[in-house]
Amino acid sequence: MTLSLPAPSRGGHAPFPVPWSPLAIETDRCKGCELCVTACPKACLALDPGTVNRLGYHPVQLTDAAACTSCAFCARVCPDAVFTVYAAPKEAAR
Amino acid sequence: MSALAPAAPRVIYRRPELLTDVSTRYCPGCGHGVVHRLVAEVLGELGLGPRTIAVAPVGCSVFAYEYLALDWCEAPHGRAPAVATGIRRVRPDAFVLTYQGDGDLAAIGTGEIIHAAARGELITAIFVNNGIYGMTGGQMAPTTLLGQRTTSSPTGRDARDAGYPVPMTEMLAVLPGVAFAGRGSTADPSSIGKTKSMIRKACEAQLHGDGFAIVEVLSNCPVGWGMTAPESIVHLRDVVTRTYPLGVLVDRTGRGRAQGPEAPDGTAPADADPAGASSSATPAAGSGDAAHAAKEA
Amino acid sequence: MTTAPVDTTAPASPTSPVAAPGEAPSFSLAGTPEFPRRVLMKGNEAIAEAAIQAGCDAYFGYPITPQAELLEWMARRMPEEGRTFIQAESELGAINMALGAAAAGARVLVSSSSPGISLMAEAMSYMAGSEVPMVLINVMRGGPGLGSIQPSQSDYFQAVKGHGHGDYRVPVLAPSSIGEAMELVATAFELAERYRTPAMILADGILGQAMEPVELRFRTPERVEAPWALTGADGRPPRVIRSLHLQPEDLEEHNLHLQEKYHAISEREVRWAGERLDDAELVVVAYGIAARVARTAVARARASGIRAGLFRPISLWPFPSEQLAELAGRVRGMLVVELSAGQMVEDVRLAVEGRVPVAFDGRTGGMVPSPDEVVEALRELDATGLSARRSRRARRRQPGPVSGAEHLHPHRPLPEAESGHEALSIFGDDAWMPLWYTVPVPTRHGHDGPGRGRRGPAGRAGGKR
Repeated sequence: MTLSLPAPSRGGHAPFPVPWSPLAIETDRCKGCELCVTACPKACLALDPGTVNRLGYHPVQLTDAAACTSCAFCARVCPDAVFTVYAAPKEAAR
Repeated sequence: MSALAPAAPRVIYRRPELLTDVSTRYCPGCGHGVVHRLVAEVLGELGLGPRTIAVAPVGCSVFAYEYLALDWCEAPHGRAPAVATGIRRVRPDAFVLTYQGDGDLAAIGTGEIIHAAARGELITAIFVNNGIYGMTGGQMAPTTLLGQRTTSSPTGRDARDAGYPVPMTEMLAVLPGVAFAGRGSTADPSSIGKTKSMIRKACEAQLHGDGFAIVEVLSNCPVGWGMTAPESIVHLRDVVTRTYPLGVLVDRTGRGRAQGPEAPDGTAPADADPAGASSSATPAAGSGDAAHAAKEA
Repeated sequence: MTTAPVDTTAPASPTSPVAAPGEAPSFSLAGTPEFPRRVLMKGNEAIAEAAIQAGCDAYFGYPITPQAELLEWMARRMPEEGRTFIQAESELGAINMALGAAAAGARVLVSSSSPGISLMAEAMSYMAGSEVPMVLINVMRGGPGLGSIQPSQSDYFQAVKGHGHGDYRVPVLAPSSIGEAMELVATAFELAERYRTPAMILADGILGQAMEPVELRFRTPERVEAPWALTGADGRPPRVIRSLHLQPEDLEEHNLHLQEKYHAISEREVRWAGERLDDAELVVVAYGIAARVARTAVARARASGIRAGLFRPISLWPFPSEQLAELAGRVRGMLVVELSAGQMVEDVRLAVEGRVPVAFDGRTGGMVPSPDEVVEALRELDATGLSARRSRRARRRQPGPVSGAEHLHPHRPLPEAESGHEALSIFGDDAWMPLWYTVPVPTRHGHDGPGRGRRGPAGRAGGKR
């Protein structure tokens, strides 16, 4: 799965050279409850049926990083606090 | 063109530090996990972790002491407000928090919660109401809805023999010792956000010496209700809130601790409105300011 | 004989004004160490003041007869000393407040009477399992149920056999006089904190309500370090006070640890007192107020030719079983006197293991046995005590005092008794002296008042060895 980089921000700065993801998911904490899947307004989360984590569940995965707006609704509803949410990185100011 | 330095992605949200590394025993989708997280977030933001002594209930959240990195005292079923009172009185510098379920607070513990509130104890009570006894296998609670099927109301709660769901927080809001009483839920991100700000307000009521503060958080029990987690959220949002409306029930914060004995007519000196804003069931929008304005009106 | 008028600074009326902080407290300890004040004090109030002087940080209670005066004294005095007092919404509330305060490291006292103590069983079990120290005073009244407000000793089983659920015991101390009760409050705090356990004082309605002359000399036990106490996890790992151990292996280990603790207490904390035991043939075994009655009965029995003695357990748990067993080896019979239908008698019978007949005389329902009833029971025991066994014993019995009596220590010294410190109990052979004798006057006994400096054959209860 390739990550698409964020569109250039205002001011015409170039995109970042390193790939990043708006979500870091601790898959071994996830219990597959799907509350985040329902809460996500961009429908970019889904359980991964091909993986069973240490707790015995299908953990959630980010299916469309480009669609993610870092709204953090997933993190808000998650009972197990599996998400770390990042926003599009800003360049260092001059 | 200036050289671009790749900056680190900005963190919008990360797991609060006061949550331990232990994976909780709660069922998938259980609201306790959300409330634990909110408590960890608020205590962390207010810097209260090192000062807090928390009191754990009996119920699913009996293990709260494994999930939040605080000093904890286990209380017998229902007695958490009394245990918290004892801690509060001998440790004036501590921040004292109770965490209780609906059986703990609204059934066996009614005496203790009412009198802690009546005394205006400077404690913050978190009341997780999922309308069922989860730990013991899904029996009826005082807050179970009419018609709801549980293992001890298999044909649905009938008011004729089991009475009506108990509105504990409305009852407590009447007491002058209560500085803040609100009801939130874990139904959706917006409610969760409002619940968090209520929890914060309830903590501040203790810090400012305003009085007793309670936040009731409507929560789900997917296994006990016989639903998937997403279904239980829909039920919480659409059905449970009809019996238990959300909002700030009373906000008497800002008055500070009454100094000296009360006025001869029995009112606390700073309490101009003993009945508080709880006389009507109309919920405020969830912001303390609106409720305050409603009270002044 | 003239006496100085007794001036008790303890106001008689509960509506007396409370001293404001900074003012002299409403209760004065005036007097010198050599001639401490002696005042006539109500038991409940004396016990309360002893707890305050012993460093009690917090008191939680609920009004119940016959101990309401203890709560009222605390209501007045604790705020004067800047300490915590709460009249809780119920005994349930009170004992659970105590759990919290004690878990946070405070020295805590709760008092109640029989029906209220029943409500406290749950929290006592939790405190025993969580190893939280505190002191609970039961001023026993008639039962079961609502019973009466008259004194009784019918809560012995409740106190000694665990009281709440689970495999646990608590140290139980039983005073026989108000002065002794005052001293035992300090001892109870010590035991509780030394062993991290709740401890009980088993008093009764007479001790609570009566007034006796007491010396205003108190003891403040040193604080024990409490590295387990909840203070807020500031710069250290969080602590948890709990009794839940879901894994059976864990809970077994925890229970074995508790049992080790109880074993240590049993070895080191047995307390009892004896009178006229050296040449006794029949022994009356009684505690608390029953022992006061029994002492008079023993004196009257002796006067009528029965060689009677008194064995008075002071620690009901751990029970002085070894000492009773030793005693059983050289007496003809025992008579247990209780204000109940017979509870301690079972432990006496267990201790003597059938070697001597153990009879029982008691009254229930708030009635108090009279010394003459006890003497009558002694006569019956003397006459009907299984004559066959008696003749066998007569053949085996040695004349004169039994060698080895010196092994029978009448009293274990308090583990941290300071040198020169006399115990406060006036429980001596002259405890029945008239109550007008309240001021220390020089007598043939010496300067310290009645009973001081005398060494009776079995020593004085609480006397230092």
